[in-house]
Amino acid sequence: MNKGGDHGRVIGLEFERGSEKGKVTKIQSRLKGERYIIKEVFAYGGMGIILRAQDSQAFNNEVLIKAIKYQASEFAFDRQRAVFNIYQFRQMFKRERRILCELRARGINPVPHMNDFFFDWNPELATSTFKFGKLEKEELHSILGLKMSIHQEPYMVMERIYGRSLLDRLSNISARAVLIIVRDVLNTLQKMHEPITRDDGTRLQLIYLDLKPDNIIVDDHDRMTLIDFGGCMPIVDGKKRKEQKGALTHGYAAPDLEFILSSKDRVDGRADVYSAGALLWRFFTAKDPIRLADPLNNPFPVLSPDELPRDLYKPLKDIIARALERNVERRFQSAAEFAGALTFVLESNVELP
Amino acid sequence: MKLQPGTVVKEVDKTPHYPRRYRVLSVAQTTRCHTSYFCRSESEELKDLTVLLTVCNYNPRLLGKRQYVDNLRARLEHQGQMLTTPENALPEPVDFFRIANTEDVFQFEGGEEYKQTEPVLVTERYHGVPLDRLINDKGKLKERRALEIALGLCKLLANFHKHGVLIYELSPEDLVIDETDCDRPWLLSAANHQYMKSNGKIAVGELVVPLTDFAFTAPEVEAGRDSLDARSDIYSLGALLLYMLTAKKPKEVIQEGQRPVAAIYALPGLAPETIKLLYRCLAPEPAYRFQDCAAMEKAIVEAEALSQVVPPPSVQSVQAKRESQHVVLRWTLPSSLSQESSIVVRRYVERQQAPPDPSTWDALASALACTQTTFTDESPAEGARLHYAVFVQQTSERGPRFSVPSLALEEGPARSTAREFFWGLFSSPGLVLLGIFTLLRRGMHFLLRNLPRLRSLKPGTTATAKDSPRTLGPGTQPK
Repeated sequence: MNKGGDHGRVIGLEFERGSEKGKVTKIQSRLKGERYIIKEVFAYGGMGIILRAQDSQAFNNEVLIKAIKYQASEFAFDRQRAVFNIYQFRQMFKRERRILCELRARGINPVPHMNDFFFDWNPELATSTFKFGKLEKEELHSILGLKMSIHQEPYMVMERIYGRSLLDRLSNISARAVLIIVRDVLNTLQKMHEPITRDDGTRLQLIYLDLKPDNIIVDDHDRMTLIDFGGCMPIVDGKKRKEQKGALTHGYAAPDLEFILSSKDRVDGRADVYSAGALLWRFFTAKDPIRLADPLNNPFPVLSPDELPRDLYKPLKDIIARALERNVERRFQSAAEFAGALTFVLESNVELP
Repeated sequence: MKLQPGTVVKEVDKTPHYPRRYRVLSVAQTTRCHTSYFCRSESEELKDLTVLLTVCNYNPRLLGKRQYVDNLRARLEHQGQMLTTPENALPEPVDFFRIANTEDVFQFEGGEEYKQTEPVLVTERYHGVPLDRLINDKGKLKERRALEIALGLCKLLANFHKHGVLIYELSPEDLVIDETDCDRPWLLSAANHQYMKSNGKIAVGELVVPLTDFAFTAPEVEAGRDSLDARSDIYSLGALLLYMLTAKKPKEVIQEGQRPVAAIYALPGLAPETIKLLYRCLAPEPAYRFQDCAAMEKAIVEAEALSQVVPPPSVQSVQAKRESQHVVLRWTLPSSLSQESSIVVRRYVERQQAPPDPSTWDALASALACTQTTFTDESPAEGARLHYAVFVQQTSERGPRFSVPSLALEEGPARSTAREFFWGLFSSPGLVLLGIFTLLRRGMHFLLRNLPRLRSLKPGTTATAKDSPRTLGPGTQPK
């Protein structure tokens, strides 16, 4: 979740360059039959945009509405590609909705609760604002052979989450609190990694893949909520679909993902273990792995445990080093194992920096 | 109103585009005022979404009273409003609409007709166990776990008080403990909540009949006083903590006419910090309680920190350590408890050669300015030399004698000064005998080695360079 630095035009919204939350100049202010009254842009990331709104039919309760963010530049040049992107983004969006429902059904609470999911009019997509022309349903079918309506924009309503991202809190949070948060994150990830048998007999696992401080919201009581499941990868019967690529953040992503994502190889929870280790490495070294990574030349930089503070508790240093092992077999073999090791450190009552 | 599993509830008010429809799956929790059901959305896009649907739970005997019915419905609506308070530990309100009620028959006095629609509150579903069910199944909770839950609730209450809401009664049936999420407490329902009058918000209407049995409410609430504030909620939280620790309702622990402090001190197996915490929460007069949630939170954190200290070692480890070195183990109380006027406990474990003489302990007790003393021999086996002594200082007659099973452990070397060390060294008969024996042994060894040479020495013999001065006998003349 970014709160600055991005700019440009997205569907239905326009931001000022570099503004923190984005000044909304054009917006569809009411959604779903005027039920949701949009107040402001809460946050935005690579694919989605999150709006803060009021639910007029449920005590004016504050909610977050997630929508897809389309880049105007794409529409200007390649019409066919833009339509394909719309299709792909909507598929990912629906997948995120399914994952959120699945997680809540499994009893995983520290994820956002989805209140509503509906389709509504997107005024700009069907107009000529993007030199796109009016795109009718029939024409769309002729381009891609897809059954979708360009007018029906999906919106996902989620509960309001209170707190700030862990990235914002990293500078003023204690090491013990970070360890507790990472332990809770790992426990949540472990529940996602455990396969469950669905009604049709298939076994489903969920791999988060995009663990980073931006995607962890921490409230005033240091309780965490994991957000942004757009890049989460469902694994059915131990296999992933070929077209699923997931979303990676270079620096936090495990090096073994480089080959796995482009092939049919199995992705498992150990990729998330590496990301959790990178998160701890980020906290204790105060160095940003994203900056160390170069998407073209060095997408998976080495996060050396030698850079950890010398006075750091030795078992903790070993734990982080083991989580950051580039060889998958030498890493913690599950998130639960990693969480157990952190519990050992927390219960040893040592002073942490 | 009761809903059967499998029933589909529909919104009565016509919403042309987005009608609300939910299918009832199972009963989640029944409280005094409301019943909650797990439901699944029947909407096309939300078929896999489960929510919690709450409806009013009417008392059949009171269905003829319109004020009661109105009040219960208003409370459901107010509860929905309360859940919008910014806090992550509350179920998020998702929807609020009306459904047809074909089950209950409202026959008000005077034959007044009544609209047969029922309000429905839809909230985020929870995963966990209601506290009353948890304690019924598993019995009382461990002290540390109970304190952790109390800490979460204390933070929750602080948030409510900040927004001018008094919960009025924290009942175990209204609380859900999410075991999968680090014992996060969720406030499922707060039917009796009020707005603080100082806040200037509209108060919920007066109750026709009390919707509580006052099991977890403060005495001033039961007495019907108007001036309620945050301290009433603190009493309620203390009562809930007592319930978690003992699996008994406060009125079962504190008998009628008994002072709370006496009943709390008599509870076995609680750390003194927890006892103090309970006493401060359950004081009958609000002035003696914690004055706000921040003070209580601090006390809980202290008590929790105390319970995190390494527990006293087992008997075997104590015996092993005792054999290896002479160690005095001392259990000391934190300074904060020493300031408590009612009771102070000091507990010593020392190595003793013989069972303790009561007069010795009395002398020590007088040195410690204790008014009453007692000691217990908790030796693990006959002939063991480990003895515990518990000193109880009571400055008032309110509390009985008690022993504290787990206190902070302070472990260190034997307390002995250098003077005591040397005095012990010289006064020990064993050491003196050992010294004499060593001297005699060395003297005998000297004589046995040098006797032949001494015999060979005669007057006029010249000593050579090889002869050390020690080998020269009396009368030997140098060359």
